Amino acid sequence: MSEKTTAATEKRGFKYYWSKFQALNGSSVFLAMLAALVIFEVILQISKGGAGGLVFITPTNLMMIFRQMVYTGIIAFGLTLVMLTGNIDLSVGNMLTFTCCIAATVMMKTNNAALTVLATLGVGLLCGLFNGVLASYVKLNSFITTLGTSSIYSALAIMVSAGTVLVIPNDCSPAFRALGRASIGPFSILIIWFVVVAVILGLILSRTVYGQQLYAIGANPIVARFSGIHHKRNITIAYMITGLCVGLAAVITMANSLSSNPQSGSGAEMQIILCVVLGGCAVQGGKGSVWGTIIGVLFYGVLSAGFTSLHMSQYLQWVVMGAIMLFALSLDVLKGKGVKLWKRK
Amino acid sequence: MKKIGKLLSLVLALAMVLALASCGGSGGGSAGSGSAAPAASSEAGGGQSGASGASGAQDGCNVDVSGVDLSGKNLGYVTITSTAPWGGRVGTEFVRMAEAAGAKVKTLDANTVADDVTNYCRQMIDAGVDALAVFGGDPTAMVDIAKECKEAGIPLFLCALDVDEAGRDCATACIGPDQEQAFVDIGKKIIDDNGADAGCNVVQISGVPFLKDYQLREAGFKTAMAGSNYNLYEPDYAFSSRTDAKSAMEQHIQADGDKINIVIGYDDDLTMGAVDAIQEAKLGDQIKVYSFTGQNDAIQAVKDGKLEMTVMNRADDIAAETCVAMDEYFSTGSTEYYHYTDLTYITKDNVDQFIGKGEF
Repeated sequence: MSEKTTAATEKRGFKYYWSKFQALNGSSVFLAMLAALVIFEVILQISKGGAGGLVFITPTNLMMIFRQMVYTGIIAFGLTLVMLTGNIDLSVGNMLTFTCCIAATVMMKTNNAALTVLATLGVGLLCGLFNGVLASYVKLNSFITTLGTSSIYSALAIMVSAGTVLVIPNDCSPAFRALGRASIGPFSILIIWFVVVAVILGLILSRTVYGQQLYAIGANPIVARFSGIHHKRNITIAYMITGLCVGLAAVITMANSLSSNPQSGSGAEMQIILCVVLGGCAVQGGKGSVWGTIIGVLFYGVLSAGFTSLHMSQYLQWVVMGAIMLFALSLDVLKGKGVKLWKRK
Repeated sequence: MKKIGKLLSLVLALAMVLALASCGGSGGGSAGSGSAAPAASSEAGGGQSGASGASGAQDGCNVDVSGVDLSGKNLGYVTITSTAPWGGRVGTEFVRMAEAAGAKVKTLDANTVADDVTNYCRQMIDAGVDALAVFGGDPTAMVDIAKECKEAGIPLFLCALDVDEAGRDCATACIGPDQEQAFVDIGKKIIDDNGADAGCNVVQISGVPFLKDYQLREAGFKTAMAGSNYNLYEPDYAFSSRTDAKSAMEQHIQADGDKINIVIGYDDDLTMGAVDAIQEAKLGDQIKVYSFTGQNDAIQAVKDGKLEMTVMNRADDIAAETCVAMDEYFSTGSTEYYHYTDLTYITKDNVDQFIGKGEF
């Protein structure tokens, strides 16, 4: 009798946790990511003859994938806030280029890490404010608005850099280099930045009134407005946070690579949006989380790393990534319409 | 509220444009004169002081312009940018050399706007210049300019730019390096260095897949490697991102770190990302890196032993060869369409003379 009760409790316990897990944003993507890791490992093992232990699922490789996705991740966290409100920011790629150029220019002229960080974050914030005001107060469509501002940021990047590659000297301020190259214990500072931003924005979304209001605006903007939520102000703040994240990503990128090309971030927005959507953020707004975005970012990183390890043509990689984005968007639409993809018998 | 919102957005836009325009101005300035590009600055300075009389040639220039005579010619020069270090230098060197050879040169700067290149070319055609030289621009848009130049009887010289095939009969000359051949040569050098049957695994770090520059470079390298047993990995396209180039290299190292022998970078800025990854993985002794463009930090990397070779594409060679092509055209009524300029290989043997003399 007691054995049966224990078994039943264990069974309920598993179901409970499984249902909790399934309720998380990006849970299916998390499973897909694990599957991808295993598939890549198997393929690489076969191609290498199966000798010498794990090839792909190694701590070094996983840490490297994590590190490579930090820049994308930080911006994706900010973008999650904007997309939760049902808006979008297509300017993040060129904003990144522009803020990188600002960081490089200020650093090269002053060699002052604090000033460079302040200027870059300030410009990022200003760009976000500009996007936010246009999308909320002026009521321009966010898609068109940020498409337009993207072009502006691209042009400004070319102006700031005079159309050339800006290379920060290797002997620049050690404090600045540390922002992108230091390690704390076994962890690269890049990963620490990623975690810090994720925790802060995750807490903002889940533990603050502002975060809940963003969900409310995205779920039903009219109801949110009648409920007394300052939707314009909140949307603008979401854009400003995105701008700040872009500025931070620019500082870290420059501190790590010491080189800014006036076209380096062009097209990055698609990768960032793909990560956010993969993480379960609804394009229509109202649904998504920083946790989901973390999973989306890491899944993208695993796919990208796996394809490169398999020496897959980059053209083919883009086709696969595009197909995955379409699939994720289709799932999003189908779920929105209440279509159940898997029916229990 | 609507009015306040609009007003606010306008004020913000104005504030941002003003703030950033001033930043842009200082950035451009720094590229030419500040710490941004000390090499460009010192090079330009050296160019001014190193000008050798009527010939206009200077130290390091591979093209002899001592016999060039452009006396009495009114030349037009349209550039897509005069502020970028390398592109700007092509212009300043051309003007200096042409004027030293007796010509008068009128310059118009399109300030990175490709459409303005064609607009300014038309202004030059309307002004009736004796010859028009153009740096940068859109090869397709230049087809119409080439046709208009031919109709107006004005010879058109394209610097570091080729017009689309439809306009080649109308343009007079295309001056610059043969990038495909350059990479055939680089490939041959790699085979010479490492042996034809070494079976090296080669990682290719490329830039923008749809730009002709990169296509030509890849094609040239592939041609050179065709006769060897080298294994070329699929090119990784980092577009313009050194960070992406580094990530791609890190992934190759993770997957095949012990097997990779050579990295060929099609652009120094991207190659330096790969160099960074190789150094972090402490594989500098195993992997040889070859690159192209002659950027300052890449030249320094050659000096430091992190890069096997980079190839400098000299701006003053292009400027000088343009003057030579013009002189030949005015003297004989024709000149060859392609005027290829030499590329300078920078290796550990000669790197000292190029430190700080890169284009960026």
